[in-house]
Amino acid sequence: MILKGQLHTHTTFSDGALTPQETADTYARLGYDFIAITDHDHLLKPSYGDAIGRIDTRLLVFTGIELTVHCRKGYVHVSRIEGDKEVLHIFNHPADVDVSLKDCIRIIGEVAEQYPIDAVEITTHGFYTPQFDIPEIPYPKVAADDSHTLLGCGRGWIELEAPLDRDEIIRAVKQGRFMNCFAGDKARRKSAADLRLIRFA
Amino acid sequence: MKKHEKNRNVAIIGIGQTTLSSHKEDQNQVEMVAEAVRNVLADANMTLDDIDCIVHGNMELFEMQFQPDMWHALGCGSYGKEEYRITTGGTVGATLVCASDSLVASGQYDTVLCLGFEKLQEGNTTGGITNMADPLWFRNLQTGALTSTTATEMIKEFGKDRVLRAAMKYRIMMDKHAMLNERAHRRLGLEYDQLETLMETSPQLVGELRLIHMCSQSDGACAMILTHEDRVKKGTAKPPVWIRDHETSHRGENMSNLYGAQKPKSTHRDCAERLFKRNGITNPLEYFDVFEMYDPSAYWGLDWLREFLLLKDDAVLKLMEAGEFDLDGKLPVNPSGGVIASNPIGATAMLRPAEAALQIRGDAGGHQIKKEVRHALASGFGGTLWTVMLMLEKELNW
Repeated sequence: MILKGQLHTHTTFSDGALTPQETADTYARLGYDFIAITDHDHLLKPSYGDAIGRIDTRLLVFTGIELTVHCRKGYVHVSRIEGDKEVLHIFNHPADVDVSLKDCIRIIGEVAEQYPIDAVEITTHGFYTPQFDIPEIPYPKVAADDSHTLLGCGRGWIELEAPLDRDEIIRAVKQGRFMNCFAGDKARRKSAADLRLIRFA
Repeated sequence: MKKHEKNRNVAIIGIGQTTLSSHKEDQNQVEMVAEAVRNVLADANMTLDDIDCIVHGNMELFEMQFQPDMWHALGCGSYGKEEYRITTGGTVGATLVCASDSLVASGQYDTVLCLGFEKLQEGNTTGGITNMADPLWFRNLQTGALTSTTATEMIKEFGKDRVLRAAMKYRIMMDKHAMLNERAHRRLGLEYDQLETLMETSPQLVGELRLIHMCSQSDGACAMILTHEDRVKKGTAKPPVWIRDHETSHRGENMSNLYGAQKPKSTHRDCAERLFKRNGITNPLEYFDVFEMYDPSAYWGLDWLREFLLLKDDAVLKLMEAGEFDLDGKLPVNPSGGVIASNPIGATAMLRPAEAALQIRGDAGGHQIKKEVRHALASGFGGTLWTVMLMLEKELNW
């Protein structure tokens, strides 16, 4: 089945404006099948996990956290998204690191010594940053919203063919079996049939 | 006429703001300033026909936009009108109010609309600040507000544990105020029982300065309408707020020249001493009902309170620890949430007197101080040590 998913969202449990329930409701209205809630570790309020567990939604919800990882740049962000058995680590919004591409690639390598980096975002606040969509960054590239408000939801997402199962979805991302999609970008927004072609190409 | 004596008294009769946010992707700059202008005209029940001059300001080139006032002519309503453009750094918003006050007080214009804005998402502010070079003074690098010097000095003076706790308490207090202000940008819902955790988990930026201590980068605009006493007598839509006086202290040297054998008097203390002396205020803590202060970080917030209020020894820490700067304290500080919560640079220092004026009017909404506000103090600050202070009054009786 073709799934539409969002791997980077923030809620009122750190610096987002929407509650976990409002976040899920928003993405459900936008036709998503799964979301990951990835609030900042350093602003996290108590009972975060409980709040995610209490979300009443048809969506498959991943519990995640956006880690603050110290490196020579200062700090960068890595999302850790929990499946049932699998764990996904995504190096977030490299454009926000605000260094040269060469240095950014070095920093991704430095972070990869601390975490098993599985993917790298190629968006900042949901907008495509093509300079990072290159083979020199040897990880699957994912599009995500990094949403903090209602307006930030539904800009960049992934679509993939997999059962609606946390571990299956994480495995698909790790293996690059997904397609990046962007709001309003019909050229990059492929149909489900195209996705199958990519999947089995 | 004596120096600083006004030719005629000036009042704020309109206040307009946009919401403040990290991104405003639903508006361009013209639309954003137009929203603030529409709001201020509605607040004053005026039209652009009532405005004689528009004073426009931001940090030019922070958004990579040359002469933004030209682009904004339709948005701010300046087409066919007299206009000034001002850029004085972080304090530009306060300078806009001072300049507008002087333009009205002098008699050059009867009614002036001043407008400060910044849309920081559209530029690289940190890049702009850190690349400022000054070969004359051997300055090759600027870090803007990203400095831990104040934290280090305060720790040396008062001890690490006390200062770190006071700074984090200040930060949480600002967030509690911001949570009551629906326009504020960063509203995190912090609680005092998170103090210990935040001291440990917030990423360090430099020295003891952590991410949580620092101001945000915001988009937003603020506008005010100023007019003279005779115009006020004809009636205003909202109660007038009088600009009693303002003072600017500007030192041209940069930081590297300031630290010799003895640290010189800060521009804040210098500015406050002159302003208070001129107005016969011997105890600002007793005189003012609210202080809306430009506070780029929690450490600067603490240290600058000491300077502005002319406090000695550890008085500022004692007041902070006793909750005297809370909304129900002796002198409420930054009921809006301050700069730490919202920082659209060109508007930031205007939001301070705007907030102070709203408090005097009793019009601040959820973050209105419970007691009556008759005397308000506001401050602005910007690069190259440029301090501005404004005194606002409910009654014209001094």
